[in-house]
Amino acid sequence: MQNGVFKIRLMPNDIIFTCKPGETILDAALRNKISLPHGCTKGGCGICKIKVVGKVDFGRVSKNRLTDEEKEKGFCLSCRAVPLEDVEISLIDGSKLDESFDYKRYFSLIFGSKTVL
Amino acid sequence: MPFRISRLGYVEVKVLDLDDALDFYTNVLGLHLVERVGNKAYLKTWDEQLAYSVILTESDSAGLVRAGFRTVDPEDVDYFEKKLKQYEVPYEVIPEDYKRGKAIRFTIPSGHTFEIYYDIEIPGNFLPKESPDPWPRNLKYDAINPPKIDHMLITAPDPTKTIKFCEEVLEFRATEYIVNGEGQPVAAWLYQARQQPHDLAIIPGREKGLHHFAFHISSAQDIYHAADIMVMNDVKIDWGPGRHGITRGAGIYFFDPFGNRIETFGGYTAYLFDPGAKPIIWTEETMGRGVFYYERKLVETFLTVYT
Ligand code: FES
Ligand SMILES: [Fe+2]
Repeated sequence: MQNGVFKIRLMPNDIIFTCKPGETILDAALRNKISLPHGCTKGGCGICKIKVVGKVDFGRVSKNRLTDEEKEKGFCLSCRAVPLEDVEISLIDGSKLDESFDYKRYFSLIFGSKTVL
Repeated sequence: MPFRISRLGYVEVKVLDLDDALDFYTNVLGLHLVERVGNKAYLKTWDEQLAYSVILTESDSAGLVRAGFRTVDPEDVDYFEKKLKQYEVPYEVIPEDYKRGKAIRFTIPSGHTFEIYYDIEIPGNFLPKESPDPWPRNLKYDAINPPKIDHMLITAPDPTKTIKFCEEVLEFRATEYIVNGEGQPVAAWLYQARQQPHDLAIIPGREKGLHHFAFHISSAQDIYHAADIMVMNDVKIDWGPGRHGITRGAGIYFFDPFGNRIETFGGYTAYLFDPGAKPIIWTEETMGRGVFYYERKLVETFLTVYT
């Protein structure tokens, strides 16, 4: 495999796509027309939090959106995380990424709070 | 009742790297660096009279540290101190800060730190005091260069309570509300002496959340020019150029390199609000059009993405 080109497998959809050297998981996904949740794309908002199995460079992220503990537990912010080997990713509740994906629901999963509107 | 707050004076925002932040805030946004002091940088726009309007602080997270509101008169600071006492809101007196005198600092129900102050150095804008031209010649031609800071939108877990606090204790008045089924305001656009659509707005969300802070951009052409500069510099645009139904302002939402959302706001249609006029009401049904007029629905990131 070319240096830095790794396979990313989205579960449970079981879709495999590849990242370019140095490319974030989010950029690779969007380039492959896979709409992973995202907002600021700068590691600040936390909406792109996913589970990852495999080594990544977590990148420059806000500590209050991705704590050191969460890093150890296998979470990352897809907008900043760059794979360092083949990785497997999933939404934080393990659900399938499809048309029913709802930002507000995902927000409450991440932040444990509901938006009122 | 007189207006006692003249405007949003400054916001202090956290960034993960001060060098990268300054590159963005000065070269792309076009703010002027007043001074870098330790892990903080003080910046201002070209047309502001006061010493600074943005403080960037290097930290391990993005988001808001505090917002400062400047009073109309010096006595107004004492007035608000009394008011806070009367409402049993704990506060601190901060005798001085960078180029600034006394401020009272307190936490509003949504957890945000606010300061009220009057004394601050007034070095003036970038134009001479005598017979000035309309704009300075030495602005960076490929930066956005907004003339002034405009407003701030924050999120609150109990927005109705926070709105009430800002109205009763801080004496903001509302130009517009989004009301829920029971007629309670769950989002508000609040103003003071400038009588513009808002200095401060509140929507539902996490405590201490900074949804965005905004700089004024006056004409449609300037808004598109700002958008061009964002694309040239690969800045992540969240929404726009577009128009809000609420405030009628034309805007662009975009992110700084750490995910803090900034807005260029204003445009040809932002209004003046006459004191005594009834606030405009939007409902949960019409709020999509209220927030994003052309899209006529909330974009997904509006209620879920902020620092
Ligand atoms: S999209 Fe905001 S942190 Fe990744
Ligand atoms: Fe705004």
